[in-house]
Amino acid sequence: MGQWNYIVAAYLATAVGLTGYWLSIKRRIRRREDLIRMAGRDKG
Amino acid sequence: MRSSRVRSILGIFAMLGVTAALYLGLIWAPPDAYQGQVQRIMYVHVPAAWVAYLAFFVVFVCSILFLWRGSQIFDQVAYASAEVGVVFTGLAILAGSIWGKPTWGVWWTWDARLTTTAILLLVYVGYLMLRSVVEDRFRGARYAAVLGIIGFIDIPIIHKSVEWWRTLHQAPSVMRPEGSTVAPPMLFTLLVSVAAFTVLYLYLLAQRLHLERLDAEILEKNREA
Repeated sequence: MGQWNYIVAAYLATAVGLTGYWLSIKRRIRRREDLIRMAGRDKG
Repeated sequence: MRSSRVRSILGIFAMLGVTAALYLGLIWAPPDAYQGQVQRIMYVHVPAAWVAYLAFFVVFVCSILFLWRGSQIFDQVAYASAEVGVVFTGLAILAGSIWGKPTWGVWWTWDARLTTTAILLLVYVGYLMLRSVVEDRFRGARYAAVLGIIGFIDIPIIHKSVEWWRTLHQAPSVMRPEGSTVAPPMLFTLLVSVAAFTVLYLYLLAQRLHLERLDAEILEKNREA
Protein backbone atom coordinates (compact mmCIF):
# COMPACT_ATOMS: atom_id res chain seq x y z
CA MET A 1 0.00 0.00 0.00
CA GLY A 2 1.56 3.30 -1.10
CA GLN A 3 1.77 6.27 1.26
CA TRP A 4 -0.92 8.16 -0.69
CA ASN A 5 -3.40 5.33 -0.11
CA TYR A 6 -3.12 5.96 3.64
CA ILE A 7 -3.47 9.72 3.15
CA VAL A 8 -6.59 9.31 0.96
CA ALA A 9 -8.05 6.82 3.46
CA ALA A 10 -7.52 9.21 6.41
CA TYR A 11 -8.94 12.26 4.60
CA LEU A 12 -11.84 10.27 3.17
CA ALA A 13 -12.72 8.73 6.55
CA THR A 14 -12.73 12.22 8.12
CA ALA A 15 -14.83 13.69 5.29
CA VAL A 16 -17.35 10.84 5.38
CA GLY A 17 -17.57 10.96 9.19
CA LEU A 18 -18.13 14.72 9.33
CA THR A 19 -20.57 14.80 6.40
CA GLY A 20 -22.52 11.89 7.85
CA TYR A 21 -22.75 13.60 11.23
CA TRP A 22 -23.80 16.91 9.65
CA LEU A 23 -26.53 15.16 7.64
CA SER A 24 -27.75 13.35 10.76
CA ILE A 25 -28.18 16.71 12.56
CA LYS A 26 -29.95 18.17 9.50
CA ARG A 27 -32.30 15.16 9.35
CA ARG A 28 -33.14 15.39 13.06
CA ILE A 29 -33.77 19.17 12.77
CA ARG A 30 -36.12 18.58 9.80
CA ARG A 31 -38.07 15.94 11.75
CA ARG A 32 -38.49 18.23 14.78
CA GLU A 33 -39.57 21.15 12.58
CA ASP A 34 -42.15 18.91 10.87
CA LEU A 35 -43.45 17.83 14.29
CA ILE A 36 -43.78 21.44 15.48
CA ARG A 37 -45.47 22.45 12.20
CA MET A 38 -47.94 19.55 12.44
CA ALA A 39 -48.71 20.34 16.09
CA GLY A 40 -49.38 23.98 15.11
CA ARG A 41 -51.69 22.89 12.29
CA ASP A 42 -53.63 20.52 14.63
CA LYS A 43 -54.10 23.34 17.11
CA GLY A 44 -55.26 25.75 14.40
CA MET B 1 -34.12 34.33 12.34
CA ARG B 2 -30.86 35.89 13.61
CA SER B 3 -29.50 32.55 14.85
CA SER B 4 -30.31 30.99 11.49
CA ARG B 5 -28.20 33.67 9.79
CA VAL B 6 -25.33 33.09 12.24
CA ARG B 7 -25.46 29.36 11.47
CA SER B 8 -25.40 30.03 7.72
CA ILE B 9 -22.42 32.40 8.03
CA LEU B 10 -20.55 29.88 10.20
CA GLY B 11 -21.31 27.18 7.61
CA ILE B 12 -19.89 29.29 4.78
CA PHE B 13 -16.73 30.11 6.78
CA ALA B 14 -16.32 26.45 7.76
CA MET B 15 -16.58 25.36 4.13
CA LEU B 16 -14.05 27.98 2.97
CA GLY B 17 -11.69 27.10 5.80
CA VAL B 18 -11.85 23.36 5.16
CA THR B 19 -11.27 23.94 1.41
CA ALA B 20 -8.18 26.05 2.19
CA ALA B 21 -6.95 23.44 4.70
CA LEU B 22 -7.39 20.66 2.13
CA TYR B 23 -5.41 22.59 -0.49
CA LEU B 24 -2.61 23.44 1.95
CA GLY B 25 -2.49 19.97 3.51
CA LEU B 26 -2.65 17.89 0.34
CA ILE B 27 -0.83 20.10 -2.20
CA TRP B 28 0.97 23.16 -0.79
CA ALA B 29 2.74 21.81 2.32
CA PRO B 30 6.05 20.02 1.70
CA PRO B 31 6.46 16.33 2.62
CA ASP B 32 8.18 15.51 5.91
CA ALA B 33 11.94 14.83 5.74
CA TYR B 34 11.62 11.56 7.75
CA GLN B 35 8.07 10.29 7.21
CA GLY B 36 7.58 11.48 3.63
CA GLN B 37 4.08 12.18 2.25
CA VAL B 38 2.17 10.19 4.88
CA GLN B 39 2.82 12.93 7.46
CA ARG B 40 0.05 14.91 5.67
CA ILE B 41 -2.41 12.92 7.81
CA MET B 42 -1.28 15.21 10.66
CA TYR B 43 -3.39 18.03 9.12
CA VAL B 44 -6.61 16.13 9.91
CA HIS B 45 -5.50 14.12 12.93
CA VAL B 46 -4.18 17.00 15.09
CA PRO B 47 -7.07 19.44 14.35
CA ALA B 48 -9.63 16.70 15.09
CA ALA B 49 -7.91 15.98 18.42
CA TRP B 50 -7.73 19.73 19.21
CA VAL B 51 -11.47 20.16 18.53
CA ALA B 52 -12.22 17.15 20.75
CA TYR B 53 -10.29 18.82 23.60
CA LEU B 54 -12.10 22.11 22.96
CA ALA B 55 -15.52 20.45 22.81
CA PHE B 56 -14.99 18.65 26.12
CA PHE B 57 -13.64 21.84 27.70
CA VAL B 58 -16.94 23.50 26.72
CA VAL B 59 -18.79 20.53 28.30
CA PHE B 60 -16.69 20.97 31.46
CA VAL B 61 -17.35 24.72 31.79
CA CYS B 62 -21.06 24.49 30.89
CA SER B 63 -21.58 21.54 33.25
CA ILE B 64 -20.14 23.55 36.16
CA LEU B 65 -22.33 26.54 35.20
CA PHE B 66 -25.40 24.30 34.90
CA LEU B 67 -24.87 22.75 38.35
CA TRP B 68 -24.20 26.18 39.81
CA ARG B 69 -26.91 28.24 38.11
CA GLY B 70 -29.38 25.55 37.00
CA SER B 71 -30.00 27.35 33.71
CA GLN B 72 -31.09 25.06 30.88
CA ILE B 73 -29.02 26.83 28.24
CA PHE B 74 -25.75 25.62 29.85
CA ASP B 75 -27.05 22.06 29.84
CA GLN B 76 -28.08 22.35 26.18
CA VAL B 77 -24.64 23.67 25.16
CA ALA B 78 -22.89 20.92 27.19
CA TYR B 79 -25.02 18.18 25.61
CA ALA B 80 -24.51 19.54 22.08
CA SER B 81 -20.76 19.97 22.59
CA ALA B 82 -20.38 16.45 24.04
CA GLU B 83 -21.94 14.90 20.94
CA VAL B 84 -19.74 16.93 18.58
CA GLY B 85 -16.70 16.09 20.75
CA VAL B 86 -17.40 12.37 20.53
CA VAL B 87 -17.50 12.58 16.72
CA PHE B 88 -14.16 14.45 16.57
CA THR B 89 -12.52 12.10 19.10
CA GLY B 90 -13.60 9.10 17.01
CA LEU B 91 -12.20 10.74 13.87
CA ALA B 92 -8.92 11.67 15.60
CA ILE B 93 -8.50 8.04 16.68
CA LEU B 94 -9.42 6.76 13.20
CA ALA B 95 -7.03 9.12 11.35
CA GLY B 96 -4.32 8.37 13.93
CA SER B 97 -4.80 4.65 13.41
CA ILE B 98 -4.46 5.04 9.62
CA TRP B 99 -1.31 7.12 10.20
CA GLY B 100 0.01 4.55 12.69
CA LYS B 101 0.05 1.65 10.23
CA PRO B 102 2.72 3.02 7.80
CA THR B 103 4.78 4.73 10.54
CA TRP B 104 4.63 2.26 13.47
CA GLY B 105 3.64 -0.88 11.54
CA VAL B 106 0.42 -1.37 13.56
CA TRP B 107 -3.13 0.04 13.35
CA TRP B 108 -3.44 0.13 17.14
CA THR B 109 -1.25 -0.34 20.20
CA TRP B 110 -1.99 0.06 23.92
CA ASP B 111 0.28 3.08 24.10
CA ALA B 112 -0.45 5.59 26.93
CA ARG B 113 -1.65 8.37 24.57
CA LEU B 114 -3.88 6.03 22.56
CA THR B 115 -5.29 4.26 25.62
CA THR B 116 -6.13 7.48 27.50
CA THR B 117 -7.78 8.85 24.32
CA ALA B 118 -9.85 5.66 23.98
CA ILE B 119 -10.90 6.11 27.64
CA LEU B 120 -11.94 9.70 26.84
CA LEU B 121 -14.12 8.45 23.99
CA LEU B 122 -15.74 5.82 26.23
CA VAL B 123 -16.40 8.35 29.03
CA TYR B 124 -18.23 10.74 26.70
CA VAL B 125 -20.10 7.95 24.88
CA GLY B 126 -21.21 7.03 28.42
CA TYR B 127 -22.22 10.68 28.94
CA LEU B 128 -24.48 10.54 25.87
CA MET B 129 -25.91 7.15 26.88
CA LEU B 130 -26.63 8.40 30.39
CA ARG B 131 -28.70 11.24 28.98
CA SER B 132 -30.82 8.93 26.89
CA VAL B 133 -31.27 6.32 29.65
CA VAL B 134 -32.44 8.53 32.57
CA GLU B 135 -36.11 9.35 31.99
CA ASP B 136 -36.30 12.45 34.18
CA ARG B 137 -34.68 15.04 31.89
CA PHE B 138 -33.48 17.34 34.66
CA ARG B 139 -32.04 14.49 36.74
CA GLY B 140 -30.32 13.04 33.66
CA ALA B 141 -28.83 16.46 32.93
CA ARG B 142 -27.43 16.71 36.47
CA TYR B 143 -25.89 13.21 36.38
CA ALA B 144 -24.40 13.95 32.97
CA ALA B 145 -22.99 17.28 34.21
CA VAL B 146 -21.13 15.46 37.00
CA LEU B 147 -19.74 12.95 34.47
CA GLY B 148 -18.85 15.80 32.08
CA ILE B 149 -16.77 17.45 34.81
CA ILE B 150 -15.06 14.25 36.00
CA GLY B 151 -14.40 13.07 32.42
CA PHE B 152 -12.48 16.25 31.63
CA ILE B 153 -9.74 15.18 34.08
CA ASP B 154 -8.61 12.74 31.37
CA ILE B 155 -7.60 15.54 28.98
CA PRO B 156 -4.55 16.86 30.90
CA ILE B 157 -3.58 13.19 31.42
CA ILE B 158 -3.78 12.59 27.63
CA HIS B 159 -1.74 15.73 26.98
CA LYS B 160 0.95 14.79 29.52
CA SER B 161 0.91 11.04 28.74
CA VAL B 162 3.76 11.31 26.21
CA GLU B 163 5.97 12.91 28.89
CA TRP B 164 4.91 10.77 31.86
CA TRP B 165 5.24 7.37 30.17
CA ARG B 166 7.45 5.82 27.47
CA THR B 167 5.18 5.93 24.45
CA LEU B 168 5.23 5.13 20.75
CA HIS B 169 3.29 8.34 20.14
CA GLN B 170 5.58 11.29 19.48
CA ALA B 171 6.11 14.06 22.04
CA PRO B 172 4.52 17.51 21.42
CA SER B 173 6.24 19.37 18.58
CA VAL B 174 4.20 22.61 18.57
CA MET B 175 3.09 23.33 22.16
CA ARG B 176 6.54 23.09 23.76
CA PRO B 177 8.09 25.53 26.26
CA GLU B 178 11.21 25.71 24.04
CA GLY B 179 9.12 26.60 20.98
CA SER B 180 7.86 24.68 17.95
CA THR B 181 10.12 22.24 16.07
CA VAL B 182 7.81 22.16 13.03
CA ALA B 183 9.02 23.79 9.76
CA PRO B 184 7.22 27.14 9.08
CA PRO B 185 5.19 25.99 5.99
CA MET B 186 4.02 22.89 7.89
CA LEU B 187 3.20 24.93 10.99
CA PHE B 188 1.23 27.42 8.87
CA THR B 189 -0.76 24.57 7.26
CA LEU B 190 -1.41 23.03 10.66
CA LEU B 191 -2.62 26.34 12.11
CA VAL B 192 -4.96 26.94 9.15
CA SER B 193 -6.34 23.38 9.55
CA VAL B 194 -6.83 23.90 13.31
CA ALA B 195 -8.64 27.21 12.64
CA ALA B 196 -10.83 25.60 9.93
CA PHE B 197 -11.75 22.68 12.20
CA THR B 198 -12.52 25.11 15.04
CA VAL B 199 -14.97 27.06 12.83
CA LEU B 200 -16.45 23.72 11.69
CA TYR B 201 -16.89 22.78 15.37
CA LEU B 202 -18.67 26.09 16.04
CA TYR B 203 -20.96 25.48 13.05
CA LEU B 204 -21.82 21.91 14.12
CA LEU B 205 -22.30 23.09 17.72
CA ALA B 206 -24.70 25.83 16.57
CA GLN B 207 -26.67 23.32 14.48
CA ARG B 208 -26.77 20.79 17.32
CA LEU B 209 -27.84 23.53 19.75
CA HIS B 210 -30.67 24.48 17.40
CA LEU B 211 -31.79 20.84 17.58
CA GLU B 212 -31.73 21.01 21.39
CA ARG B 213 -33.92 24.14 21.30
CA LEU B 214 -36.43 22.43 19.00
CA ASP B 215 -36.53 19.45 21.41
CA ALA B 216 -37.21 21.81 24.32
CA GLU B 217 -39.98 23.49 22.28
CA ILE B 218 -41.63 20.11 21.55
CA LEU B 219 -41.39 19.13 25.21
CA GLU B 220 -42.99 22.41 26.21
CA LYS B 221 -45.82 21.96 23.67
CA ASN B 222 -46.43 18.39 24.93
CA ARG B 223 -46.62 19.66 28.49
CA GLU B 224 -49.17 22.31 27.49
CA ALA B 225 -51.33 19.77 25.59
